[in-house]
Amino acid sequence: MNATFQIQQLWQYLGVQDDEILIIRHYNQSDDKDEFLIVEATQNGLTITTTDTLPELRTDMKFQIVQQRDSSGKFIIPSVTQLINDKVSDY
Amino acid sequence: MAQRIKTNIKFYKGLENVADRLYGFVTKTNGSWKGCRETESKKKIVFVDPSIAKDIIPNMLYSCTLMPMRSETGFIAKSATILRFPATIKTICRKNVFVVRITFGNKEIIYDPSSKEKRKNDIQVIAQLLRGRNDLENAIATAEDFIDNAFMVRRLYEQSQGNV
Repeated sequence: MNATFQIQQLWQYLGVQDDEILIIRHYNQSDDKDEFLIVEATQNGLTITTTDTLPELRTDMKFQIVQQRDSSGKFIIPSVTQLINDKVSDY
Repeated sequence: MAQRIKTNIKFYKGLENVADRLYGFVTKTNGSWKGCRETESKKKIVFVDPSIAKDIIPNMLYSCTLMPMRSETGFIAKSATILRFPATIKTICRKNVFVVRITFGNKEIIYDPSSKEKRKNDIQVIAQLLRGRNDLENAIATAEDFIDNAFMVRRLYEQSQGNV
């Protein structure tokens, strides 16, 4: 699935507000390193930038950080479909 | 040969007259059998085969292979593999809200430094709880990830209280 679409779905599922930043921890397979995807709402939709380190976070900032490991322990962008399926199947 | 069914079920103990046997329930949804709660009206009972019963932990979700009983009143679980869910750790900081939520399956554990309850405000208590979960994938790594996020949230929460 396209990563941008996956992030848009996640933004909605988590109920991130337009004045908040969404930070997703993610393993970059091609560079073999962890990185952070910084997602912000702009007039043109969501913009996504990448950093190697967690940005400095202050108490006056509004943000959500989300992280999930796959079965091999690598950080992945959580799939909203999987989150819903897990919730429903674990009755 | 009777048809085998694959589905996910939770088992419980303490059924009247057969208190020592593990049991669960399935219901037919859209043509296939699925695990369900006891409160479901159209359901069939599932007993665990005694040969695998010793490894079953009550109230955990298992991927099972079922065989119909000869009487056709229910099923016998012939194999059961525990299902482990990946944890999603959500750290939320916004005006007056400083929390870490760990979700897996339909469960949610919350760390809230402003809470008066130890099960919600004690980082080590929550980390130990996570390490001991049988239904959590990467339980040890999840506990360490939680600790990192919880310390950050606690620092920001304390700073916010100092600024009031």
